[in-house]
Amino acid sequence: MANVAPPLKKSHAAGGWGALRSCGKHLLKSGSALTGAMTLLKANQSDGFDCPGCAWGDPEHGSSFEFCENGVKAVSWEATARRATPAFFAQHTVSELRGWTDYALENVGRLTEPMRYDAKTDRYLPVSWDEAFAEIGAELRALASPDEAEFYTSGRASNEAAFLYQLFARAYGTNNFPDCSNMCHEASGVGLTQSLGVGKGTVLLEDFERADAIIVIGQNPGTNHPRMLGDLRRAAQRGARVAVLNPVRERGLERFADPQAKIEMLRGGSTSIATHYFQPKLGGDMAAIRGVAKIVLMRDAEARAAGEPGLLDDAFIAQHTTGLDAWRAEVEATSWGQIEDQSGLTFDEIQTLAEVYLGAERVIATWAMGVTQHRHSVITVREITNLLLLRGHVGREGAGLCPVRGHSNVQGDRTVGINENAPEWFLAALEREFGVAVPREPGHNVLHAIHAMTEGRARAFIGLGGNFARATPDTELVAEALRRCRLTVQIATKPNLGHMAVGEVAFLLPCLGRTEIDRDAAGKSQIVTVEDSMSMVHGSGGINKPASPHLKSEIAIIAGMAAATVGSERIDWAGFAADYDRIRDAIARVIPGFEDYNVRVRRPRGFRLRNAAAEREWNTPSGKAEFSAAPLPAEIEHQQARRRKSAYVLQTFRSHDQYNTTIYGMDDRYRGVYGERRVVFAHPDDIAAMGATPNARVDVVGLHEDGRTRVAEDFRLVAYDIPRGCVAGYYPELNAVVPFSEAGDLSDTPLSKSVMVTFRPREAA
Amino acid sequence: MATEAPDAGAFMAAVESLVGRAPELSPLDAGLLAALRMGVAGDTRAFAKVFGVPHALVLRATSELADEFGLVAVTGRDPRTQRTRLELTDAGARLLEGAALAA
Repeated sequence: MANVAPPLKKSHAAGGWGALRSCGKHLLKSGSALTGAMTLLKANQSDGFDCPGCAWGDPEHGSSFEFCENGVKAVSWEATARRATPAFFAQHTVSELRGWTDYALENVGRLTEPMRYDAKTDRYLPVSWDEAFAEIGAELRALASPDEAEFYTSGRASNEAAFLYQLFARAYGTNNFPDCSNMCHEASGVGLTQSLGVGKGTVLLEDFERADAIIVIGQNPGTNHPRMLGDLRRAAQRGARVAVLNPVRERGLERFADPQAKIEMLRGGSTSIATHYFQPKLGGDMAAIRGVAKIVLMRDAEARAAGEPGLLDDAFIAQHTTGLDAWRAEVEATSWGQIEDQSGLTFDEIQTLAEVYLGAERVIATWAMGVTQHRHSVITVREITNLLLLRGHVGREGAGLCPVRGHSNVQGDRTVGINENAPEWFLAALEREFGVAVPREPGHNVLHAIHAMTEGRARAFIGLGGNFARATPDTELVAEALRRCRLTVQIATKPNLGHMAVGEVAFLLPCLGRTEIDRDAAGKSQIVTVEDSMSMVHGSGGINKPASPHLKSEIAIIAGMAAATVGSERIDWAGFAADYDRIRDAIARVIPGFEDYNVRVRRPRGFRLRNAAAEREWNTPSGKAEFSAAPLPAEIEHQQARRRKSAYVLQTFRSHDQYNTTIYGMDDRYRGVYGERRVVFAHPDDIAAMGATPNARVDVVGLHEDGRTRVAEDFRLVAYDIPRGCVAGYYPELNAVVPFSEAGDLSDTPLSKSVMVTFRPREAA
Repeated sequence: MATEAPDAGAFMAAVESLVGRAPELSPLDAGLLAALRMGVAGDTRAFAKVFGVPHALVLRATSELADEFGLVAVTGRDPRTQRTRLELTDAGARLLEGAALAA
């Protein structure tokens, strides 16, 4: 098959408009009849497709009409014709491959056969599935304790794979579940659970159609979840206010040309997204929200003093919340000087944001990593929640809280048990369902796992997808920790640099991608299910032929390892792998909210898991939504940086051609960067203050107190619209300067948005 | 290619005829074949646009028709959009002739 783009003109004429004009229009002219044809064609299409590109919700059953820009990149990435065959691995030692870039290594293509590392030749060699499973089982059984094994999960894993994976690990005897959520929205889960009793967002996609104001904090949807831009665009078009808080001026948040709005595209037009764009300093969101609250409370007091109705939702506060007085006291005690200095915003800017908030009947607050990857992220999430509680913007139509997840099923994985500290009811339900004893001792999250491997307390690492070594802080340290392990097992679709950090015994096991058709023993295609950021559970079936006949699904691989490790006397692993409906039936019996799972997930749009907070039922200790009364941090990193010579606060983020650690290409078109990734965005005055000029090359040097030297070499300085004292660049390249020794309070999330660094001119290096 | 403009009624009749003749085909599979034959759409994305079917589902139908049934051949794919160009194989053409579709 020719996997090449056709000439543009030909493609344009052959598809899309050409089809609609020349042929389709004859069908379209008979509108009602065409509707009949469309209905006919959609009949018996019970298996939707959930795009692996992000976790934003879908308006249609399990798939958008058209792939978004990122979605099609994700699909194309899996559908590549390139193959990483045994012949490839025979040509290259693992030591040599360690010197490749992430992009080059993944660009080799899809893994085709299970591989085992051979230390003598320093190469991966093919191995049979049976041999791999047997040896993995023997190695795991030989560990002194099950707690010496780490079971890492990427957010790509389906509900079924994740449930089976946690069952395997717990039946084996450990709760060690480092997962990618630990590196992203852990703070959201912790903060929302403390405030509302549920660690998830409270809104549905439909709420975006009704909100009057949407406050977008610390996120860049244009690159990370482009379909969200469509919803923001529609909101802006109908007059809703979209207020953005982002240190970096992101073009995608300012204007958006929806590829599905053809007339607009043809005219070269676009729609304004952000009605208000504020650029706080890195980590300044809590102070900014505190300032908004201070104005709201002040205006409310003034109104009441004047004998007018108050501005707060008194009935909601009285019936549904607790702790307002303590928070009010904290807000009043916070000076404007502190708010302005910590947020990086002026009083006037904060007042404008307060007016957006006060002028709306229905407010949604959304956020992502810009909020969650700081030391004070949990209290920032709670401060955002406080603000919405003031006027009853939780648990009603068109309003609510919306942490936007990154990977397509990171939320679902946690729901089905990827949790190092799962609640007792869940563990007890597992024991009832499967008749096995499961451990109660809390296990390891990502940071705990790195510590344990570094210190030799963990000796086995099983990676269900992802790129652990590159996604985590302190890249070299983590790679070394993996190399210290007795056993490493990586389940993956393509080779990546993490796979080159091999333990004494190492396996690289190729799995089906989400886009590939997964057939059961009888040859019938199977679906898996995922949960999006709005708690909607969708079914997803593959759409392409598997890249190799030797691939197994993640579920089959987990089942194979589990059977070889803990046996099949109590749990019919092979039966689960043969029929995913059986896994869903088990989930339905273990986890409330999944009743009739197999029926409901095959309905249009699937089903929504109940969110008690969205129904104003608060599973908190007080039985009410709880205002947080946390003071602002005395000082955050950008304030500390001012006191240090030539210090800056760095945030890591994605380029536009990137999905987590996967690099699709070398461009970042919204930010005007092409053909390179080793860049640092900085304010022009800061570049001058460094004694440098734009485009100068520098090393990025970490400034941390743990005695470890951290340097990321050879980056180009790019003058950019970003606050002074704040700089930004891409991960995973800059993870080398993110310290694993520092983490978010209460969340253990890496501080990837507040890394203290300085710069060293290359010529002086 | 079609020599005269198809209409929705003819298209639906063709789909129903195909499904009747080859029950293992889904209506979407049959629709894709009929669209190829009648000149309505020569690639997956055009088909998705005309009929409002998610492109992903059209790609799945394409996989089935090409890999399982051998009724279409993939002649090209645009990695930027996943637009996949198709043509009927001899087996596909025979099936359509057997279903007596207007050409």
